[in-house]
Amino acid sequence: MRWRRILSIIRKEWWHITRDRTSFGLLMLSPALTLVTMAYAFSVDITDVGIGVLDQDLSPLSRQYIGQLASTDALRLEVWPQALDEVEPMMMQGQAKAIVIIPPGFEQDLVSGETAGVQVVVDGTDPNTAGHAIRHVSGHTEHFVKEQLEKQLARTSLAANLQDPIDLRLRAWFNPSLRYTVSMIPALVGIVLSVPAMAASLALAREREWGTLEGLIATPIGRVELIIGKLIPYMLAGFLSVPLCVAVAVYGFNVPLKGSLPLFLLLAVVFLFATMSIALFLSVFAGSQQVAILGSMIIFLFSGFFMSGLLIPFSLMGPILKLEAFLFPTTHFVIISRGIFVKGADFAALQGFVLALIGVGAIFFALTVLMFKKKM
Amino acid sequence: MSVPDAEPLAGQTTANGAIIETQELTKAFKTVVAVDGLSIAIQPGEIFGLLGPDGADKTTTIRLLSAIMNPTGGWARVAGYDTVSEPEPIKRRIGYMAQRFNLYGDLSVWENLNFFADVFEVSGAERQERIQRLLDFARLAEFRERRAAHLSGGMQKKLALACTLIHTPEIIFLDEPTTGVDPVSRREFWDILTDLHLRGITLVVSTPYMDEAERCSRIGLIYQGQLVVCDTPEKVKAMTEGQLVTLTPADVRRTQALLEDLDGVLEIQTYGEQLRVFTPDAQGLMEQISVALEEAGIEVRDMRPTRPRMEEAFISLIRRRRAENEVSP
Repeated sequence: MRWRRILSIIRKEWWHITRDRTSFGLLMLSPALTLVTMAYAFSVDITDVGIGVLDQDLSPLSRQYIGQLASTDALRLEVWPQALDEVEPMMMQGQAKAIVIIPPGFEQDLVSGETAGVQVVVDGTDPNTAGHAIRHVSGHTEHFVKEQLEKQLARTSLAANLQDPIDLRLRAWFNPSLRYTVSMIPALVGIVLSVPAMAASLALAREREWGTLEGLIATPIGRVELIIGKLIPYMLAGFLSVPLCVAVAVYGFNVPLKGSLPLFLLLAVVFLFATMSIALFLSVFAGSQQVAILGSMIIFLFSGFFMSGLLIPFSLMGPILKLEAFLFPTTHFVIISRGIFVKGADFAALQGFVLALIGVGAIFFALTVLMFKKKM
Repeated sequence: MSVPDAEPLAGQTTANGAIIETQELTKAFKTVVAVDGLSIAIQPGEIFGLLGPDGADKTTTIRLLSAIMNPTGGWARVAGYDTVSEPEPIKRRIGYMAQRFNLYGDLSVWENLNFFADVFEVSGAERQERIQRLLDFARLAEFRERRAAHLSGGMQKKLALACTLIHTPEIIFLDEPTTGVDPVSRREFWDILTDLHLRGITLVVSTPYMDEAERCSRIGLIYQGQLVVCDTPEKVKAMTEGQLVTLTPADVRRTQALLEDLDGVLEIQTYGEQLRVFTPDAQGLMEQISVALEEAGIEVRDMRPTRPRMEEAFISLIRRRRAENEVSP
C-alpha cells in the first residue's frame, strides 16, 4: 500500500467533487435542506383539532361540559350539528375530525347519580388525529366527571376523606415537556447525514460509465489504495455538512445539544465511514450512475428511514428485519444522535453503538475491496 | 521531439525471444467466441498491427494482453509474466490506451499527467522533466491548463498517449488510437508511434485502417476472432492470388456482371466507380475485358494492371476465409 498513490486518488476525487460548483453546493447543503423539510413534516405537534358537538340536552351541565372540552387549544369547536342525521355528512366532508354527541337527559342522569352516556364519533381515516381527539376528549371528560363528583361529595360528610388511592406522578426525563421536536430532530439528523453517501455511490460507477476505470485497472494501483482513495474524500465532503445540520437543529428548531459537540462530530465521522463503505460497495456492482443513485436512494433514504427504528419500533421487527436494521448505520446513529442531543450521553454510554458502526463499516469496506476486481 | 527511452529489458522474453507470446488464447462470452485460439509471438521492438473489421474483437484481444481481462482458454505471457497469475508486474511495464477516451474530462491536461505520474510513482525532478517532455512531444504544452474534455479529438488521443508513456513502459497497447481522428492528426499520431518504435518500444496497435497497416513491422489479420494471417505487410499483400487489374467502366454494374462470366477472373472488388479484378494473368484478362466491353457497348476509361494494396489483400483474404468457413463449418 502506497500513501502517495492513495493521496493521488484522494486529490483527483476531491477535484471531481468540487469542480462542479453546483453539485458540490448541493452536496454540502442537501443534508441540512432535507433536515429542514423533514423536520417540518414530522415535528408539528397536533393541536387545534376541529371537532363538533351535538348537544341534545341543552342543559347548564351539558354546556359546562362543552366548555371544558374547549378549554385548551388541543381541540377547537368547529361545527354544531343540530340533529343526528347531520353528523354523517359532516364527518364525510371532513368538517370535523370527531363529533361529541350529548344525549337528552345528560344532566338529569348526572345529578341523580345514574350513569350518563356520551358518544364520540371519530374519523378513523387519520389515526394520528383521531387518537389525539380521543385522548383529549376522554381526558377532558374524566376531569369533568371528577369535578362533578367532588361537588356532589362536598355536599355530604365524606368530603374530608376525599383522596386519590394512587398518587401517580409522571416525569419525562431528558425532555420534560415531551416536545416532539426535541426527540425527532436529532433522529432526523442521523437520517439526513446519509444523504452524502448517495454521492459516494457514484464514485466507481461514474468511472465505469466514463470509461476511465478501464484505464485505471491497467495501472499498478492497488485495490485497497483505490478504495481508500475513494472513501476519504467523500467522508470529508459529508463531514462538512455535519456542523450545518447541528446548527439547523440547535438554532433553527431550538433543540438543545446537551452532550459534547466534539463527541458528536467524532461519531459522525465513524457514521460516515460506515455509510460511505456501503455506498462504495454498491458502486462496485452498479454498471451506471443511474443504477447507483437509484440503489443508494433505496438503501439510504427509504430503508435507512423506515428501518432505523424511527417509524417502526424494533420490537415489531422479525429476526431478518432486525439483522437488516442492524446493518444500516442509520439505526445506530439515530440512537447516538438522540443520546448526545437529548440525554447528553458520553462515549461510554454509546460505545456499543459506535462498535456496531465500526463493525458494519469494516465489513462493507472489506467486501468492497474483495468484490472490486481489476478486470473488465 | 524527444521521448523517454524504454528502460532496458531485464531478460523478460520467452524462450523464442518474444516479449509477447500467446498460445491458443481464447475468450468466450456467453453467446460468442470473441478470441478463438490465438497464437502469436511478438518480438521486442516490433510495431505489431492488429487488423480486422469492426466487431472482429480486436479490443478483446488487447484487453487480454493488457491483463485487464482473463481468457477462458490458452495463455498469454507479456514481458515474461502470465497475464492471469501475475497481472500486476505486467501493469507496471505496459502502457494501455483504450479505444474510448479514458482520461478525466474535468481535470486539466497537466492534472491528468500528474495523476498518472502519481499512480505510477514517478516522482521528484524526473517527474517534472518527463511531464514537460511529454507535453512538448504531444504538442500540448500550450494547452496544459485546459480541461481534457475541451480538447479536440486528436489532442485527446495525444494526451491519452502521453499519459500512457509517463512511466516509460516497455510495451504499449493502443486500441484503435486513430479512430475518429482527422487525417492530419492521424498522420501526426503515427509519426509519434514511429518515433517510439525507433526508440525500441514494443507497440501493439489495433486499427481498422488498412493504410496504417503499412506502417507496422508485422500485422495480424483478425476475422471472427481468428487470426487469418500474421506476417509483414509486404508478405501479406503477396498472399493475394494472382495479379490485379483496375478499370473504370461507364456502367459499373453491367460490367461487373459481364466480368464475372469471363475466364481467369478470381475475384472482383468494387470501389465506387472503379472495379478491381484479381486474375492469374493481367495482360490476358485486359484483352478479354476490352473485347467483352466493346461487344456490350460499354465505354471504359483507364484500365491498367496494379499492385494489390493492403485493402484489396485484406478483403480478398477475408472472403477466402469466409468461403472456407462455409465449406467446412
